[in-house]
Amino acid sequence: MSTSGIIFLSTIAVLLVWGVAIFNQLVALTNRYKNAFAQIEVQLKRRYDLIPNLVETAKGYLTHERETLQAVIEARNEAASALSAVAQSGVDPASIKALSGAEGALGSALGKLNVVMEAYPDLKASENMQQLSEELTSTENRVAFARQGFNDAVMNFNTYRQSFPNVVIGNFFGYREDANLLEFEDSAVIQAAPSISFS
Amino acid sequence: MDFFREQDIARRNARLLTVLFSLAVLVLVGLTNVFLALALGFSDAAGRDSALTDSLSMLDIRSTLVISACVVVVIVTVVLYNWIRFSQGGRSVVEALGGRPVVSGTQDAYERRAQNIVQEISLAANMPVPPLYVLDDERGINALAAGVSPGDAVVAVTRGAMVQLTRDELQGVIGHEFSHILNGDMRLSIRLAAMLRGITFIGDMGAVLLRSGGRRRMGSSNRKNDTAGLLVIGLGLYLIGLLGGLMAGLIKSAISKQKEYLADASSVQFTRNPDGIGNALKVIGGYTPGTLVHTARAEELSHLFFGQVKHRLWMLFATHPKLEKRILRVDPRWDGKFIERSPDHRALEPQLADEMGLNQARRAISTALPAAMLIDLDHSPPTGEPAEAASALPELAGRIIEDAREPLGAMSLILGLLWHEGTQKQQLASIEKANIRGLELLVAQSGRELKDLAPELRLPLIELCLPTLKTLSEPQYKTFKQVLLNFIRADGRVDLFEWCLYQLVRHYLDPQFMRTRHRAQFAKLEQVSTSLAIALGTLAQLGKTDTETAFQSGTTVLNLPLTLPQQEQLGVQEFGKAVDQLAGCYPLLKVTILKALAKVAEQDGEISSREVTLIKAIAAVIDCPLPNNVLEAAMLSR
Repeated sequence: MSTSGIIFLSTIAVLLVWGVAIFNQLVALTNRYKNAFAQIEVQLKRRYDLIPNLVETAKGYLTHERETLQAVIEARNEAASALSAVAQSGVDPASIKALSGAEGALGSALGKLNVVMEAYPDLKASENMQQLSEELTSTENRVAFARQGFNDAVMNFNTYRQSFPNVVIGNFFGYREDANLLEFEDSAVIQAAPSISFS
Repeated sequence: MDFFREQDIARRNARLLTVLFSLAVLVLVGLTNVFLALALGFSDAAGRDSALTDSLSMLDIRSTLVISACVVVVIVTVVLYNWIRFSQGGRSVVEALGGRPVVSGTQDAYERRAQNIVQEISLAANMPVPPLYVLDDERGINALAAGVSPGDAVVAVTRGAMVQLTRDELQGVIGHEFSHILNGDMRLSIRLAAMLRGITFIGDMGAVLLRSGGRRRMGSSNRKNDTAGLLVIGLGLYLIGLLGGLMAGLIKSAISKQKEYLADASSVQFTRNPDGIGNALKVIGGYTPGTLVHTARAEELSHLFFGQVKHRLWMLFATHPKLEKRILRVDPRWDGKFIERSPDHRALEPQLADEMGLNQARRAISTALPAAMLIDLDHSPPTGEPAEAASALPELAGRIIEDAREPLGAMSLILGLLWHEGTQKQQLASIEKANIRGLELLVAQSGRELKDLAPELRLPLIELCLPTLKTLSEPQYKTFKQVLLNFIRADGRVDLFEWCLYQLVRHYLDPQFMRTRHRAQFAKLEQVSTSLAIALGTLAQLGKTDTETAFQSGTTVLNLPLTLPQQEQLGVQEFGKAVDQLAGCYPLLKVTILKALAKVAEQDGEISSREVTLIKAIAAVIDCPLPNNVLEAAMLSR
């Protein structure tokens, strides 16, 4: 075979390997942001599991605040069922909207409880409550970080997909669309949402 | 700060410097080559009294190639050797520094907080959660990430960092460590360190030659030319190694600094809170113990830490940028004031992990133990003064429980169970060989105390000790296991209880320290019928009623016609082998086997503690957790 033939063939081979590498990277990044989305769900669920404990602990001290506690429990149940609806129907705008609405209601109910608890120093000082408060802080962080981790993963994917020559290869293999960043339809919900602290 | 941009800059700088470092290494190796070739040629030529020009012409290609090959092979060997030496898993590195793993569900508020933070950050970084370790004895504020790949990475924080920092600050510090894991910084620094050793090795060779040359000069004078040549070569190599090491060291430190900036920026990306890491750095600046870590090995691993480990005498080689520079990058409007925070001495005292969890178990046993001992006394013929003995018992039980929470005490209790008056000389000798300070006395004491322990209490006692033993380090565990084996073998034979004890210890603790592998290979009970017969037969012998009847009741459960083996086939050795073979069965078969064993045990109407111990040990060996209901069902059905 002539030298030019060898050069031609090896160029093709290099290009092919490069293309495969880009494709694989696209697959990896897609899976990473999908996993990041699943994490949000997990963390929301963790938060819903924690709230009954909180209410149970607070109950002993807040004998006169039955209504506030009841409101928290109801909002929690609402949000939990909205989350399971999302899990069943997949990610469609309507169910996401319902979830973020329920999340907002839960946030404001927790906020109210928080204000009430300010008046009970015994409750705040109890070891159980301090432990719960750490868990709640951590959970709020987790929910926020999971959202943020998802957005970072989506950004990585989009940047990678839009760069040249990845965009050519991506289009060829069907990676034509950018992934969507997580946004909330109702920005008021974000303002009201997780705002709970015992300090 | 625009953390994405900062990350890009730091990443690019680090990459450039890495290329520079590799180039420097190549140039140095080339330089060594040329120098050696020249020097050898020159000394050859000098030996024959010819001119320098001749010596250059004598450098034919072949000898140059041979010299090059030698130099390259030697340096590559040194680099590879050091590479392997540095590439330990994260766990062993941190344990060598005196780290203790934080168990999940810890009751220490600080540990819990730190563990929560690790889990939060791994969400933000889209990474699996690495295990968290604490360096209990360190009061400085520092943290480190260790491990070659993300898979075996661990994060460790000092007790000082855990206590002195607020939640947000600790979050910033841990975010910084995650960046090191995510960017593969550990691997890079291992490579760089290994290459640096390769270069300093050239200098070491030079130093050796210089020294030996000097010695020869004093000895004899007739081979002056040789000696002079040796000295010249030695001096040249020494200089190359020295200067090269200096240069490579500088580049390495520059790379390390860039990686720190990158990690600070990534920490802001993960937490979206520049105040977290920024304030953590400011607290360190105003905190008297600073970031100093005292463990002996810390210096060697300084590049892994969050802040500088030792006082910096020579800034040029520091692995970390100056604190002020780091703060200014994160918080450009910083007014130059550190945050003063006095040490919280009470909280800095290390606390025993999972104390509460153990407390519950301890309370349960401390009520059960004296009661059981009393019952046991009632059964035994009342020869002594029962009243007096009874009053001493709770005290003894309390001390046993107290001992079981400390690693040394737990070891002594386990070994005490194996204590024999007859063979104590060999047993003491094996402890002496293992060189564990203070263990002999404890073992002798607990051996005497446990001599009369009721058999049904042996198993709870072992189970009480096992969680404590999990806190041993790997080398400690290996030593303990060796002593345990020596104890068992001291009298030259292995009895059934010793076998059970060893298997229980091995089953619970081995997975903590080493990888164990099991492969299922038997799909049918027929394939292991001999082993089954031996296992059932051994158990059947422990019963009160007829061995044959008990044995056959087990075979009906298995639905397999077996014959009771001869007495001499039921030794501990055969039994051990048989159970090992049963471990190769498929998981579903194992449950059936355990059910058959339970059936055999309850044939005589009661399940004795020896039988329970034996079944539990078998379950441990075949790696099938004993379903709680198997024994209970057997007990109820009678």
